Amino acid sequence: MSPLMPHAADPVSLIAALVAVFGVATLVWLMIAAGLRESPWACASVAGANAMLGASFLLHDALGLTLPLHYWWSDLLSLAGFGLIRLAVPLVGERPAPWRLVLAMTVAIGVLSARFTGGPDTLPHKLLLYGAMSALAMRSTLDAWRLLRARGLNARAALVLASPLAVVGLLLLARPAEALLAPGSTADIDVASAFNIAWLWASLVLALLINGWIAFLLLMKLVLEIRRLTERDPLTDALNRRALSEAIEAEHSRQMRGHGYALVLLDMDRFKQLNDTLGHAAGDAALKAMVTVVRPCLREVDRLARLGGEEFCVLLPHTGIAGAALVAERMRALLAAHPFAWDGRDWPLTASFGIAESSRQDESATEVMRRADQALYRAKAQGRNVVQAVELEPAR
Amino acid sequence: MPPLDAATLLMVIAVIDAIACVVWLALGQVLRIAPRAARRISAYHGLLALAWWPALPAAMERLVALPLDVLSAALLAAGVRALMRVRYRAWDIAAVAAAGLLATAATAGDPDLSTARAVSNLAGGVLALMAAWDVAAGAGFRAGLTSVVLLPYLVLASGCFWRAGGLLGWMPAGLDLAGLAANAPLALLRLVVDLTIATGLVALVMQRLIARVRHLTRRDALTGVLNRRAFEEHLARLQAQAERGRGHAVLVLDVDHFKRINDELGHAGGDAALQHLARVLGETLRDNDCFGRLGGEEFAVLLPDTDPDGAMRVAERLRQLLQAQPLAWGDKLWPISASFGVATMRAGDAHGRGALARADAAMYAAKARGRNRVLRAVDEADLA
Repeated sequence: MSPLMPHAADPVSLIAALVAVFGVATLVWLMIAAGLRESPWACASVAGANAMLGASFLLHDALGLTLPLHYWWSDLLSLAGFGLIRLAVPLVGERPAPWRLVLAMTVAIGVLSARFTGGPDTLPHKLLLYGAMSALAMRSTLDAWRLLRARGLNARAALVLASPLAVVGLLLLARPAEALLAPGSTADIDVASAFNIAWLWASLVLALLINGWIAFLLLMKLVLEIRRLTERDPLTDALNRRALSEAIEAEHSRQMRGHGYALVLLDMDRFKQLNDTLGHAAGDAALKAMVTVVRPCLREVDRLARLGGEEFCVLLPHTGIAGAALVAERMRALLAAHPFAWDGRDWPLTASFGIAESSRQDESATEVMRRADQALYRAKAQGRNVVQAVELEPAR
Repeated sequence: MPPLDAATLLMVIAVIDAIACVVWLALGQVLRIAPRAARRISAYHGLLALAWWPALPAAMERLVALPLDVLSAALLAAGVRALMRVRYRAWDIAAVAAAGLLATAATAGDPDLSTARAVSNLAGGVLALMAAWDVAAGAGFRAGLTSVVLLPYLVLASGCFWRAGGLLGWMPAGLDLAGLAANAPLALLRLVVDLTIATGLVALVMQRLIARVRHLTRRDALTGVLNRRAFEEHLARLQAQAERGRGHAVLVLDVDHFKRINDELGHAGGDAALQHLARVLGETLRDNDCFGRLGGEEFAVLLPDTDPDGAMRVAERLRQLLQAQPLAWGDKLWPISASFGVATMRAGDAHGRGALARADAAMYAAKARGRNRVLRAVDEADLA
């Protein structure tokens, strides 16, 4: 025995611990599904998976509960448990879950395994059962990876976060592999062989990891939702004014180190008239259309925000007045060329643009904003649908 | 049921705590969820994992295992307090932990470990009760769920007290508890208690985030009053009651000369004016009056079970309050006023929008008559 493992673990106690872990997890997931009503179907299927896996270990005759056909029940329950995990991952991502397929697979394998004559410890039986569970786990890994990628994680982080399920899949293959490599020496899981002890420990750790992992996915979903709600304008999904102010302040402090930036103010023309003529819903649709049209003109580092009403602002880091004028002119032309209709009535969408670049003489970002505002005022005065710039007067 | 092995179960507890330690580190450091509470809870699980791992030689129990027990219980109580945001100071927790550690140290000369174990159990029990107190005060669950979350703390505390009583010889013979290392059923119970504490804490965090999402989706970000969608939900709910014959009133108000305020004070000044209005009016409304921002400088209030005259009185009171409290901006006071329109809800309106439209028209009429006044919707005056 190594100094870290001073006691030989007892397989029956490990099975009892597994039952306790699955039991508590079932209760907690049910509580989250019923009490918090957050992703209730995902939580309910995770609760179901825990309950079935727990019951599958509980039915093991090592714990002294014997039912007729308990091996068969035990196998079927663990298979159904992995089926539910397969369903839970898309449900967390609010996508349809393939429950018909999973149900059909569980029933088919259940019927097949009941017809095997050689007993539960034969190789074909193990291959079929554990192979199916492993396939479910591997498929869930793929789903989880896609879900995490869709949430904006990079490939490596998504791989790390999806890996616990893949390890479960490999662990499940270990039992038929053992039967294949060392035929005749296979023992039921309550026999204290080194392989069994290691397998049970691994199952315990993974049971905990998988539950912790699904909780982490749910919490991540909530955190991203909160971030979106606090940073974004709910109508257009552009940044809100506060998030833009923070970005501009950060950019302005970099300006002291020689990185200039430019601001583009854009204001939709005749917006009040549009609202009064076609109604508020048309006004909302026009704002959304404007954001969709101008967004492709922006780089990854640029920030588009709604300041309020029909007024928007773009922050262009590392950009001078000439670059900003190009961007603004492209946005103006695209918007003017974009057809917009409401209830069959065409309405020309145009906007006026005011641009200004930062300078080392600016004490704060407010002065850049003030110049952009002056430029916008000038653009409006010139008859709208134009780009205007206000440059800093040379210091005397 | 076959006999279980206590040492194996203790190792399982240690493994569970080690994993919980990692999960809380990830929550706090990667997702930035309640970082301070997450650090404490992670440390609690980490210390507990060390304390339970049976690799510690028995001779180290007084020096390492018992102090670790007390410290981890203190970290749990401190973590729960940070998570619940009920209070911020943790002097009481530190005092109990220090007393427990000192009393354990004071038994150093005693070759028998019973007193030291009893002291550590007593301190652990008191700290578990303090954590339970904070959970009860701060959990936003319904009573049933809160008691489920509380249960493991209470079981833990009573187990600690029972064991301490047995060690000190206060229990009748035969009723004292053997230690976890020699008591497999108790070790299994401790495993379940630790698991429920760990998962209950995650559930509490989840509940807090969900509450935050609900708040953000229902509230206007600038003023904190209901946003338009949430207000319209309340309006539709009250309309359903109006169909059954109850009398509710709707009040619409719009800040006077808001464009001028914006032009003179800038956007930040305009925002401050709206926040000022929401604060002044929000303080005086009843709890079940729904106060919402319809957009721009337009607000609305739902007054349940209020007749037209009552609603006029409320509106007049709000108008006077606003007029009496100018906005402090820069080093000057800026007078703020608003025009009010009042209408009552009637059966037959779709989603209550009719009442809102009538109140809106009355508000515009008030603007036309010179602003800073309250008007009742026209046809209501005829009905009255």
